[in-house]
Amino acid sequence: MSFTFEVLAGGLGNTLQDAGRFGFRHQGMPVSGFLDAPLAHCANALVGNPADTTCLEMRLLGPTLQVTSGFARVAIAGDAVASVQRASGVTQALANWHSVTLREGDTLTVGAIKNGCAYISFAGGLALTSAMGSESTYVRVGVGGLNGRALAAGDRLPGRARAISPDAHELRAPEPFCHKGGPIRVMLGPQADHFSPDARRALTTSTWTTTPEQDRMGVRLAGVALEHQTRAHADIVSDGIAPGTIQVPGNGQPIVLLADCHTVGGYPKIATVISADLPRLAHMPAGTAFQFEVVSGDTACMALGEADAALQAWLGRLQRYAPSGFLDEQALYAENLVSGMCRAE
Amino acid sequence: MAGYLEPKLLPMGDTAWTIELGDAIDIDVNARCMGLAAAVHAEVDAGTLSGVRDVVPTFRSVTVHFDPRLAVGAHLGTLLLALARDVSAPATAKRSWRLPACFDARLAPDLPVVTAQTGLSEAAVIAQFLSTSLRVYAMGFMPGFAYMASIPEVLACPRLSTPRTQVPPKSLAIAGRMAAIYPWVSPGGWNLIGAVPLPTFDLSHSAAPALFEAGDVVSFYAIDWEEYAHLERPVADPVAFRAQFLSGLPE
Repeated sequence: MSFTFEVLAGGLGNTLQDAGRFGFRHQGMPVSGFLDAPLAHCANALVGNPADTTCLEMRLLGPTLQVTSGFARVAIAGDAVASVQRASGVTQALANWHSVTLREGDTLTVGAIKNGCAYISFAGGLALTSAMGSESTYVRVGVGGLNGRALAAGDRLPGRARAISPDAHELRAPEPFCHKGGPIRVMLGPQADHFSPDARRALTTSTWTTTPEQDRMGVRLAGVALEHQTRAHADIVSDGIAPGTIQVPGNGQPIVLLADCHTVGGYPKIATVISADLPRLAHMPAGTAFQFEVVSGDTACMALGEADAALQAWLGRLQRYAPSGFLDEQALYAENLVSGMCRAE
Repeated sequence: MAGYLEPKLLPMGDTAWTIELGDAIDIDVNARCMGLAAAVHAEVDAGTLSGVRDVVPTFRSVTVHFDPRLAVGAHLGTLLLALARDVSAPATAKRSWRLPACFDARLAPDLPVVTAQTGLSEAAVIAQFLSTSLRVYAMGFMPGFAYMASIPEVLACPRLSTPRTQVPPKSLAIAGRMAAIYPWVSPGGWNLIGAVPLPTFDLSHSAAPALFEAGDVVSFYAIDWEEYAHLERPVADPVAFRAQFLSGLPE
């Protein structure tokens, strides 16, 4: 059987997202979709879903969800404090990177999201209406997800008809998934020539700090002002933009565009974050300091291959586990997985 | 000169190329952009370009977004540049719209600003506005928003010195030589001179929610308040409703 969750508390900034809405940018429609697709892939893998299945993307404060019918298997990928209150009244911490099966009356409470972005996946997926080929929420015009907006108390999240098997194994990851560290790699352009040589140097030699002005559209950075060649170079005839583009308005303070960014813009763009590193921008709460490094297209291509390989290696290390006592006793007896009982955090 | 002799291939990270055909807003450059977008679509349909996700023609360039796992960026760039060198403007515009516009004072709070700026009477402003057909040079800013040009030079007004925080949807607005219809409530600094009773972005048209596409030609005719109210009511068949304002290919 499937499941239904009732949202008891919506949390803050939680939207349903999938891989994005492609093919409509010529109509002015942003792509939206996962800010950190590899992390969503991790969440989905933990419950046996295809990589791009719609997840709940959490940015600040997670929701409180109660199973009102059926049973649901979920997993959290990312750094979030979560607990499960069983219908019986027993409350236990829910470890991230572990799947868990919830039954009618069980309540999942997710607290603060520690580094900007985490995902809850739902085994079998949610029953949502696709808009323009995607279930991703684009809040500005109320498209996708659940009524085109962030999760709110009173919402219901129905599962798809496809049932999960109640005796399927739970999965866990032996270690958290981490993106590669180091500077954020960018390719120069499309309008690097609108900037002074000093500005192009400063892009990579100075340290940048994320500001509180950030959402799914972009992140405004604080640092040295990047000077345009001339004042006239600070405006261009609007042209195409993309997630990852670093646009620089007249004040010289760059904005890195993210998934919900517009499709065209009138500020010159000094460089663009490569796709291997763009997911890291979702994890930079205000005050995060970092540097940019300029790379070639070949390096960007190689970096993406490396990132994909690292993700595949992580996925390959997922393990079956027996949950800590409150679930699936038959499986426990059958497999005699006593070590699983020790996970009582 | 607005158009370049040689197109410029500009990288936008490892997921997009912008092919720039000129540096200014110019009808010939824009028409060649539409030709290039059509040529890219034709290659995609023929199966000769893989991994292309979106083709976005703008005023003077075309941005081609691609999946870096399905397309080799450098190879795609070379092919796009070759297409851009050969491209010619389409002989005709894609589609031509003839749309109702209401200039009632209740929908046109900035008409007095425009008359003051231009020295024309309200009737003359409206007559000038209706006298030319406009071209959709680009889509963007928000879903369904079309940048239309060029309105007559006598109507050119600067943006409002203090932008509105909330422009009502369906507002018809002008700034400089451009016109636009706001699809959504949004902030905006253009001069509101009327309203168009059609939704310019409507999800019931699932294949193409936006009324306009870049390259469309648009002209307006005046309607009064009663007709505006009548046309603005919800309709049973949104597709047929929209189609009645399509006047076919322009001559």
